[in-house]
Amino acid sequence: MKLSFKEGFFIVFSLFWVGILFIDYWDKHPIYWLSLTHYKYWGWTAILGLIGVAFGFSQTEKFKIPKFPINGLVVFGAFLFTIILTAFCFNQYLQADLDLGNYWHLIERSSYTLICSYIVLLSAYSAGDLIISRTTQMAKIGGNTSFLVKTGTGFLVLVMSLFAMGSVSILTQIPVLILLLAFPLINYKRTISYSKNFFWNKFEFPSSWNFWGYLVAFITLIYSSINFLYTQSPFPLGFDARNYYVNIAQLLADQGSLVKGFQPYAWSLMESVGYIAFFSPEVTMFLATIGGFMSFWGIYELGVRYLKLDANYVLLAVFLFLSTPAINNHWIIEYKVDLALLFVQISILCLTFYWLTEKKSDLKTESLIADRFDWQIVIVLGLLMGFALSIKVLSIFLTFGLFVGLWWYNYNRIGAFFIAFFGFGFLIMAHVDDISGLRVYHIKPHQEAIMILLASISILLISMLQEGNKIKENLVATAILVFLSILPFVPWGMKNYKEITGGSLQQIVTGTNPQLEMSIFQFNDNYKASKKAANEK
Amino acid sequence: MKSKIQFVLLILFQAVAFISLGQTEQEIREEQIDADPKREEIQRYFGYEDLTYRYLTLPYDINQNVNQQGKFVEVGLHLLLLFPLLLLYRLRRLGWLFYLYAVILIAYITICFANSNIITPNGLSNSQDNWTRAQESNNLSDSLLSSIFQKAQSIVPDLSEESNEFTYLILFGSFVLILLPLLFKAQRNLRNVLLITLAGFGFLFTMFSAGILWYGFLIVPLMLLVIGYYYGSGKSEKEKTVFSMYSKVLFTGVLVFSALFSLISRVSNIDLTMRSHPEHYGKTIVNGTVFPYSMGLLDEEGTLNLTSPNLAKAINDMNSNNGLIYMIGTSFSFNIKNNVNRIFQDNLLTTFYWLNQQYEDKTELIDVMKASDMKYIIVDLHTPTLDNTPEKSLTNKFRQVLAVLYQNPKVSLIATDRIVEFQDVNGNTQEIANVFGTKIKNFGSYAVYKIL
Repeated sequence: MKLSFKEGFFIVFSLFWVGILFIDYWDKHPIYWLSLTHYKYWGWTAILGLIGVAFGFSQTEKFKIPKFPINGLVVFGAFLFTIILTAFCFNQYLQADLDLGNYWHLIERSSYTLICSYIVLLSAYSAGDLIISRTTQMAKIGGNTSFLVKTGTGFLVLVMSLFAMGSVSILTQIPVLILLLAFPLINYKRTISYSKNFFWNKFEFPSSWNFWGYLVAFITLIYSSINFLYTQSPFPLGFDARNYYVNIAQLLADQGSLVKGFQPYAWSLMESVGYIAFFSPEVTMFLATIGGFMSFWGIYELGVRYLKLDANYVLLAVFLFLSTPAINNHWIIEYKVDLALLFVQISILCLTFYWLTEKKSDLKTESLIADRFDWQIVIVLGLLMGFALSIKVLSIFLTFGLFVGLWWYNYNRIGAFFIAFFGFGFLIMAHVDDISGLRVYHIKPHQEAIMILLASISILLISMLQEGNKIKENLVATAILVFLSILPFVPWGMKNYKEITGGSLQQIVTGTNPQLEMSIFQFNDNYKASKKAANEK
Repeated sequence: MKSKIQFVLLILFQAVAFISLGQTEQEIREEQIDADPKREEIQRYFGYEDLTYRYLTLPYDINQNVNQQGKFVEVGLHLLLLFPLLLLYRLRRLGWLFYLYAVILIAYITICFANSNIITPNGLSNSQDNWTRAQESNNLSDSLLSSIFQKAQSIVPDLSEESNEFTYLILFGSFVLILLPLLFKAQRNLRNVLLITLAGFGFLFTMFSAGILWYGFLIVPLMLLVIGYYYGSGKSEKEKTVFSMYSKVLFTGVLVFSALFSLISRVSNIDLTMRSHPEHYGKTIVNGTVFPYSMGLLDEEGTLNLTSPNLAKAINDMNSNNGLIYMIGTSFSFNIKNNVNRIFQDNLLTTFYWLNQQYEDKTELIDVMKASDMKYIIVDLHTPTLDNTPEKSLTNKFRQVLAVLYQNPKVSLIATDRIVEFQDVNGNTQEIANVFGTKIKNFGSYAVYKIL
């Protein structure tokens, strides 16, 4: 069939676009060519490649290869096998004097890390399950959304509990272990059922997965396994992890109480469980990455369940996410909190989309928050938003985008503009651009913000005239969500307030610098005092 | 009638806004931009070109790593390659908007190229001043790109200096222009909720993140899902035309290529700091310094010495007392007991700069530190590598640090991993662990001094 002019134009343009940007990218990243020309792990690739291909063929029952049952134990075994194989292949270059005892040591420590992390995950899931399952409507969520929301809510409960314990200086092994085991024990029936499902029962893979989907899923497991080896270290390697995030976890364990200063450190508090309960830096570092693993489920759920994308494409998207060098860096070097934040943010999106798809009433005529179901969702959604904010304040980016999207979806198009204008103006007035130090380059940011805010009021008035009930409804819903999202943040604000005397609102939100602070005046004064003392002697 | 009232209200409020803008006092900031530590530390991710271009070129800069290089800031090549093409692909069924968007893309990439950089074969980033040299090099991509970049620079006008009073309005206005068709024309479904959420998230990320990628990780998976959705929904399942086959190869091919090279890159795990020993390239699928610990061969102290040779004894010294520590870079806080209460961090040498201005005598400067109970000074020898400022402010400050420490009787070096040559009294050349010598054999990464 002949090409139309536009199709021909697109082909030429896309070849130019891809070509020039590819050359530019390749020029700026010599590492990719070096990676290919110096690739050394051919044996390793061949062994794992064969296993992956066999796995793909067996699951799709090609070439009469019988389907191999896969459960959690098999995945665990594959994980350990990859770690040992990788260690063995690496040692061909390192030439360290290793025997079976050393490999057994690696298996022991790796298993300890994974089992302890599973206990933490189970605790979070159980805590969330106890709350969510009590609410009749939310109990029906099902699928990965249920898993994500329960685990996210559970982590919030754990963090708040740890915060309370830290406030009274009982962040020690026994109390923390009791906390971790309490929820699974209280919820023991579901704990047993969940663990059995996870470890023992055969996984039922979706029928839409093809050979390539299985292969990509296998490669994702392998990639995760080789990353895991980096957590088997006495300390993190990354600058920010050592100075800040994992350092906070270590300080919490050393002190047995909350550490003064710092921005809200919800996830570092969670990570500290590795040191406190299990005396293991490896568990601490693996807990920093656990959000990334949970995000796999979140991305898959968003793509397949809500966007109705081809599952095999979404599996490729999951792998591309994991293999993005900047994101992968958080798995192996910089154990920051951004993977945990990502998990909570994706959970928020999944819950929002679940809500919008399950709402039976017609939003055109009915209210956004109309019944008990809506209230239950909004409460959990608001709390998860607050949890995200307590992990990192810049989660405000998602809050902004989501509000604009929700207002628009709720038949309030002009109102969506209002929230965009108001949100942006408010954030400039709140000096959010000071965090990056960019405010100094804008000569009149205050006036620009006022102009945008005044425009937002104009839009609000127009929306009230044209979209009457909907704008009021959205304002109420937004106010409720904002109030709920502040709640998980309140303890951190109170902690910061207690530590600062006469501090600004910004300091109450972001905390003080915990490091030793000395101005040049203090240096000068101390020096003068020491000279005076020396003279007097 | 209603719409007239609305129009009047809108004009009234805008008039008030304009009047207030004119009547309010000019907020001309007289901060010391050049010595601003945030400029050195955070804005190395954002760039130092004209302010408006700094924001506009951010998607390109982040994707191509123009401002800051390193795996920790790489997103792979597929997002910038495919995401803009996706809209062009969808617009092909509309009229003049298709061509207009193509023109916008050309204009955008021209602005980006005018503010781009060349990476030379030895791995260093050239400034725009060195494009002529790049053009004359034997490297084909360098010479091609530098010609393109120079041409782009000659076309793209200078908009402003480092500061202006309209960038926020221009950028917010652009965001509103993107939102307009989305909010008024897009079909009401979950996919478009995701697209609008992504647009809002991406806008705030552009405005407030200063190009720090991990502030907006959510963008990566969401863009991948949006690419998947909008490419998939733009084609008909029944089509088997040349164009449909081409577009399938294009979109799928770029993604698969990117995935494959990400995997190869991770397994090879090339570390360019080893460029003097390229025979070791490709071996470090795992980190060689923590591997012995994971296999039970070394304990924590042994691992510390492996990652930073000779450091363990300095750490033990620092942990034997509660003396305060003046820290310039490094990540050794982790290993120091009670570090929050003992470490004074001056990573960007702001305090040191002002102290050095006041106390020109280097022995007196150390006395000033000692009077504030400082007992140790830790120096990251790679501090100047953070400096992407055009004026090299951090590099200059670091030179002053070295000048203070050089042959200073008030300090004693207790640990470093730098190896230097020096000539002893008999004229024999020896290699020792020191910061200063006649020749640096191994650059090293840190130095720990004790204040006497």
